[in-house]
Amino acid sequence: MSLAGFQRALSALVMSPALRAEMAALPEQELPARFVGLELTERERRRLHALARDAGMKVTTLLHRANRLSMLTNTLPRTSEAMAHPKLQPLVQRYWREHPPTSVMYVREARRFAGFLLGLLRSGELVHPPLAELLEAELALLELGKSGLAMPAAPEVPPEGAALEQARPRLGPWCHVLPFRMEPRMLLRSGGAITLPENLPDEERYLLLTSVSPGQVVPSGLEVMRGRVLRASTGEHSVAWLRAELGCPSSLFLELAREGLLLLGPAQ
Amino acid sequence: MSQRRARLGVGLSYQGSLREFVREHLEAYDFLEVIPDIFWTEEHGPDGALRFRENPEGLRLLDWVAARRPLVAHSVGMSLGSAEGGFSPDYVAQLARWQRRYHFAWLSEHLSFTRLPHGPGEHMDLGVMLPVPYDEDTLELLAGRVAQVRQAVDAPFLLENNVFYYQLPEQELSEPAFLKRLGERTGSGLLLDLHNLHTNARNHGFSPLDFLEALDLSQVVELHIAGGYEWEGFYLDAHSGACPEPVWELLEQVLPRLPNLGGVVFEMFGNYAPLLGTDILLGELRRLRGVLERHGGRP
Repeated sequence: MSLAGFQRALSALVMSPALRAEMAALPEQELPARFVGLELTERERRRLHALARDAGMKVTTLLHRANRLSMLTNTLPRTSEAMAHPKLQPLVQRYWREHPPTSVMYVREARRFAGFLLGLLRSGELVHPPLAELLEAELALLELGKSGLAMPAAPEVPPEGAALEQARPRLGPWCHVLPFRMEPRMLLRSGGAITLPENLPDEERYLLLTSVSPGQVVPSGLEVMRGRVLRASTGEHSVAWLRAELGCPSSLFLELAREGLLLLGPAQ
Repeated sequence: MSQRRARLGVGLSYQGSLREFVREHLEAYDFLEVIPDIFWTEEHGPDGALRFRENPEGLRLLDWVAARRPLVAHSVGMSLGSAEGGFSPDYVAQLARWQRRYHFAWLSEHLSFTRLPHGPGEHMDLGVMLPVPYDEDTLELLAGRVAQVRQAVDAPFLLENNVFYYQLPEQELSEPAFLKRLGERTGSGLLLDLHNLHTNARNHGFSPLDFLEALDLSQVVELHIAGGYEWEGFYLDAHSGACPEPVWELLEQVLPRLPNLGGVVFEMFGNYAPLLGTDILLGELRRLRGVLERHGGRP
């Protein structure tokens, strides 16, 4: 069906002003090399030539790009802001070039973009620890916000004595803890414009994300030992094992459970 | 297939940034228009079929509103005009499931394409509604698709006139003639977006009144109004705030000529709502109610 070829060509012209310029410079009977192989009628060829010269195509391109951009600025706002830095901006162009838009699903596009950046960071192609921490934190914030989970108003009553020692603590699913050496407030949309630091302090710091109600996630800093305990509480080891390993008192587990951050009861 | 039509009145187009507004200002609107696509994430399963992961928080809100106000659905992901690889029976089936859950008074979609094939089991989504050529073979393609939707989803189905910024030459039919023919052929209704019409008329220099004359206005079930702004010599259908006066004038002129109108919806994109505040939204909805009342109350 030639309409299929026409739609592919039209879409390519919408996405690429450079392709439009290339086509506009060609005589009416010729097509850009990229369109060779597309089944097109003579009328469709004439239409494409007219479109390549139509000023309204730039508006269509603007809308296409604005929609792509808004998917990221709405889901990963602080990362998007950081990517505006001249050193990072070419990566956004590369992402758009190498990953054509497959969806208008904001969260899916955010995961896809985050996957692209994390791939570069993990492979060492991009070395930028502040960006890596910001991206991981903002992605976790997004996922927690979309989970629909919220910290219960009344945390579970934790076991005490021998039962506490044998309990296998787990982080509440409404929380997320991750290493983060910048100011947690920077994750708030109202936190003002951000410029990422060149380097991060060589010290241990943690970020706690708490979903206080469905869709509302609050970031806050964590004292180091609380961060270590929460990070280590995967349900795999007992309190007795963890406190020996981490060098912390049992009371810290009770405290975190009473705050609703840790679950000490049997896994459901 | 049911073609019942509700008379709903003043509608508001829902955006995520309006989640508090819709709860706090129930009195401001008679019905809520929702884009189902913003309440789920599409994923491809191992068999290549589309899966829809629904957002529980969004469903809670919809359940709350549905208990208090009628809902209509305005989908953006059908890509009715895709020649290949965009229109998905899985997507239509998901809309049918939602129809059974929310009993939408009607379902609407754009007369456009947004999706193209992109690798095995994948598609590319341009995120912008591109108009289809108003030719006989496109009419054939769309008629088949509309029939599939009407067969699957037990609700009146409306098609929306598109906004376009470029001119496609050598089309066999005018836009109103195409809309009229498609409605006659398929039994679908028309969602007449007056701001799209205003935008096209202004950018391409034609009379919106001539356009209205050429339509079969008995097909119109829903109207959209919205705001926009100028950018580099073009007027944009940006849904960016208050509805401009020429669109209010078009509304006043067309309302008495729509025997089957079910409701009028004010649209504003979510990004603008927090910037402009709720007063502007309340003001537009109040003004819309006043216009409808002057023309005999709820349509």
